Amino acid sequence: MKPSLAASPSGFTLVEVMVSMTLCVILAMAGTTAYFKVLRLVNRAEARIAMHASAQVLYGTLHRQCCVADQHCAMVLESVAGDGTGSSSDAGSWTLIFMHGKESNEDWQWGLQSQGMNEDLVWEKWKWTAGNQTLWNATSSTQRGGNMSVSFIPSGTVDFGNSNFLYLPTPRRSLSATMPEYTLNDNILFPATTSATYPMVSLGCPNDYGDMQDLDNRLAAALTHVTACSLEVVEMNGTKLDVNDTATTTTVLQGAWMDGRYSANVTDPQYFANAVNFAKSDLAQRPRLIRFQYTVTDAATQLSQTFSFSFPMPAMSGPP
Amino acid sequence: MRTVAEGMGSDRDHVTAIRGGFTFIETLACLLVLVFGLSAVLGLVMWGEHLAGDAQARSTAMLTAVTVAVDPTPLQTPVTQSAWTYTPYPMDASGTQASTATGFLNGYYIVRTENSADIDVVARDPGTNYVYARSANVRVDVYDSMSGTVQASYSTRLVRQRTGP
Repeated sequence: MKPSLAASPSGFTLVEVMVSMTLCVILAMAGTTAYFKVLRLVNRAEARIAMHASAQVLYGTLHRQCCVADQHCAMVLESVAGDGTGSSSDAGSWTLIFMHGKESNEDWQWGLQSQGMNEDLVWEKWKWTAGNQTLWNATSSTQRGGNMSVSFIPSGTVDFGNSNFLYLPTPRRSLSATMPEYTLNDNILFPATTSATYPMVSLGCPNDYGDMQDLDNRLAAALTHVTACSLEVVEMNGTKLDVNDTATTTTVLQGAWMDGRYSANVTDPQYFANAVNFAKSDLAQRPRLIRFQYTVTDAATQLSQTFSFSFPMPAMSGPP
Repeated sequence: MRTVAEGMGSDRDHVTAIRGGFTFIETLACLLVLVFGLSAVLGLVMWGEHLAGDAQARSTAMLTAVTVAVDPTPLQTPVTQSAWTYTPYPMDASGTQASTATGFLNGYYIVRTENSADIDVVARDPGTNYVYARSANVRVDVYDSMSGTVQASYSTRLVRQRTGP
């Protein structure tokens, strides 16, 4: 019995301890490697899930907006050429604006407005900026208002100073093909001109701004780390408009009137009676399809994915 | 027959053996069980991520199918553009017409088929034989580009309109 009692407290032999430590080290190394590998795979999987989830949100939003962009919806497409580097100094960008309810560039005329022919509805804006690799989105305010903090006497002796006002978007803009930013801001309520009588009265009311400025004020990031993004608009006459950061362009697609001047009925002989008139008409320049492609990159995993979606507008499909 | 002393001695040996801790084999067995347990946990985590990713991918696959159904030539990257094939049929043609588009889009392999017969012609000018409008059956199958399994299938009917006179 004594030898047994003496041997037991001595524990493991040196060989056993060394073998155990070796096994432990091997297991620890294998476990650590497996852990970090699994961690990397999980991070990549989660990044991929986030990319697909954001793609679904973008698809749903754009699809809904395209579906309701019927003939009454004017559109502005703007491209600004960049240097293609995607760095912070890259000025490349593009803009897409849906102006629902704006069926003609003449809808600013008071006479037409009084006939109830034109009403501006909600506008939506998409903008991609290459410098910060962000896709932005905005929906216009349904109403705006504020307080006139300075004296304003437009006529007679009534002073509107220190009064509150509220107004809805009204059709008081002409949609210029070359300067949409300028003309689409024409609907400010109070004049912004300097005069001895009315010194910059709009400055007395910071909330009095135009509809284009309203969209810009409400721009919010819809998706970040968008390293490339482009649009292609296919018009009903087959013309393709590329909207990206490789060229500086401005294209205005006017809303089409639905008063019979350009019938959408393909069985109507008037529809194809005059090829020149049709090609120049607002209806021929209505978009039939919008193609949208973007590349998003996950900063942590450097995982990159390109998504391409096409959205049908309220029109029939083109030829095969 | 064991004596009392032998019995006490045997118990003492047993106590001593317990105090000696685990045997080498027991330690190895414990480590093995631990490794299996951790592996199972990591495997479950990976499997959960796989299921979540698969669900998201199937949803995106359906959006891709709808995209290709309405547009057989979507925007492509230079890499996928070269592998994309599409052969359209003439708008004014008579008889049963068919076209097929195949290629990679959004990480999936796409097969799109379109068929349009004489009965699908909505408006044809008897003088010029121009077809102003015709409908077509479209089917899109979206496959996982790695495993080849079907991720989504979509069928619809399009009305195609002549671009101009």
